[in-house]
Amino acid sequence: MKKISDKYNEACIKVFDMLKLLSNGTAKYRDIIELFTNYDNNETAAANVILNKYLNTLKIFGINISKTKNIYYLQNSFFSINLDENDAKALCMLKASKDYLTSPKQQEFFDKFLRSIEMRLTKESKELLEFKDKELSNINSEEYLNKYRNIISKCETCCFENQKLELCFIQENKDYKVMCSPREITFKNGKAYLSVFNHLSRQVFEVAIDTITSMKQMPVISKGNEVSVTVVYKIGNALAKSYCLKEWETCDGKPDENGWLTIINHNEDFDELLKRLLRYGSNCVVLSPKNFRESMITAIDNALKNYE
Amino acid sequence: MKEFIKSNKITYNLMSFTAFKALLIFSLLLEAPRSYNDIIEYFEQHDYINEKISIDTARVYINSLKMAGCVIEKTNRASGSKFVLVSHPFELEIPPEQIKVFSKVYKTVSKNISIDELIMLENFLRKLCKNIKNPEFKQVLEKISPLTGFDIKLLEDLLLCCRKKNQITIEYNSPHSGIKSMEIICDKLDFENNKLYLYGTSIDYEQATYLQVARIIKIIDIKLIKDKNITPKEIRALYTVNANSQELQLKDNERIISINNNQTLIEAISSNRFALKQRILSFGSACKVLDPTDLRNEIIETLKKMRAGYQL
Repeated sequence: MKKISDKYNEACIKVFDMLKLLSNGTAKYRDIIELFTNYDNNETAAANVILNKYLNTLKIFGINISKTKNIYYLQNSFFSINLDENDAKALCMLKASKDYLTSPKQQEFFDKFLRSIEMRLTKESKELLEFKDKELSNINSEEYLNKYRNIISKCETCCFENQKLELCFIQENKDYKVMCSPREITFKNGKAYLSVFNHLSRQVFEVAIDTITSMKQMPVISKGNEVSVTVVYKIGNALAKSYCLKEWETCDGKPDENGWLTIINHNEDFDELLKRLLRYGSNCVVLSPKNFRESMITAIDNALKNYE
Repeated sequence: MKEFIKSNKITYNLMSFTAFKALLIFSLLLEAPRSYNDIIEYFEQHDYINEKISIDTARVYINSLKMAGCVIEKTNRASGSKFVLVSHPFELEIPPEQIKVFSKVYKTVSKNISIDELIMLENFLRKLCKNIKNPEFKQVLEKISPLTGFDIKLLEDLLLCCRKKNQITIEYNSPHSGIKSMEIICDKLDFENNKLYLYGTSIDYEQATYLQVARIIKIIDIKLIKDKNITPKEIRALYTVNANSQELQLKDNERIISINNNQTLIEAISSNRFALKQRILSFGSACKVLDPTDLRNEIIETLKKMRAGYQL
């Protein structure tokens, strides 16, 4: 006779195994029925009876499972994540942001992520979410995304395939053509940008999607070890004391004897960086590279010429 | 659960009572640690089970849950000999490919929403983290969130003060003078250059000011009535910017007066001279200040000082 410490209930194991199969939200009928056939060496008909018994058990317990085309869908779970009104709005915001993903595969992963959360919501939270979903359905930037969806999608593909790109775009009424490596799509203020590495200038910069006139993939794969130009600049006075390093910046952490702190910046879009450093006024001096330092000097000289 | 039973749609002999009891014990342990007596008492008082089970039976159920993949520990006698559900197979685990996509979406969303919405989203995600088994999700969120390191309660309080335009006293860690208390009439919270600032009017200096929120330690006091009605002196600046007006991302305090051959005339009204100067300088050579003269001269002086920095 078995000791109490070794005894267990078959039924408990069965119901939990079934739930484990369904824990990602879906399970194939074939896998579920196999679970019951294996356990008791039953014929399929008998296994179906047992399966129904367990489905009923779960239903009475409060876990709903639906079946469509030989797939079982777990409608809710043991978990009871409770949402308040703000949580529901936040989740709606995330749901609406799926549009920012243009690759179907990424959208699929994001859907699964959202579903795994929704599945674990309490009934009241689900109702609240549904209500907020309808209320906030017009807050996303659907119009812009619909207009440029094709080109965003094309850019995504280029980033994924990582082939060199001949990119034509218009900036400040001038046509540009650059040979570059596509990096990623970013969104700022509701607008999409393609971040690229320019092989000639060894700079990373962003091109607004709506300014792209053409792009042609070259039959050459971009090298992964493209090293962009590093900008070194120093900041002084109050700025040196309060400066928060960006994710892509490093410094030795100590100001020199005159209070200047040297910062090493990697990969920031040159135009963006120039604008940012100009804001710092006389509290910032660019040290290298030479061409960026000269761009800064030119910007200052030209700004001064405006007042001559 | 009760509503399903109440509906009476299910015939009891078409279900597994053993499995049902196992599920009940599991859900009991999900709520809180339970002792044998807690479990026995629950079954006794349960509307539909209504039976007394022995300690041995309860033990078999606990064994079964362990066999099904639950990690259950028992506290010592002094703590009530309770069973604690440490982990179980149904915890929410987000696979790496979903974390990667979430990270991409979050980075985009956080740059395109207001600070109120960002705080709302952060609150929700921090709550969600508590329900996610794998620590990678939380680690990624901490890495990419612009609100990492911030006390969300403090941000919510500051936001509320901004909405009500409250006069508050804060403890502030100044980069110049260390920890001190400051009084400010709150206006708004906003990001500038990836840093979060509290904008308002300084009571001590009677002028517009903005403080890095990361340096605010706490709110000491919120005054119901403002001490004085300070209206900071506003500057009305006029400047031209050589850029496509559609490309210009205007600030709340700016408006376009006219557009002439790609030259946009902008009027800015600001009570913060420093912020206004920074904005003008960021346009570089594309911008020329027309009015007021003192601001124009100040910009010229700053440009000259900047240029001097490159003559060494």
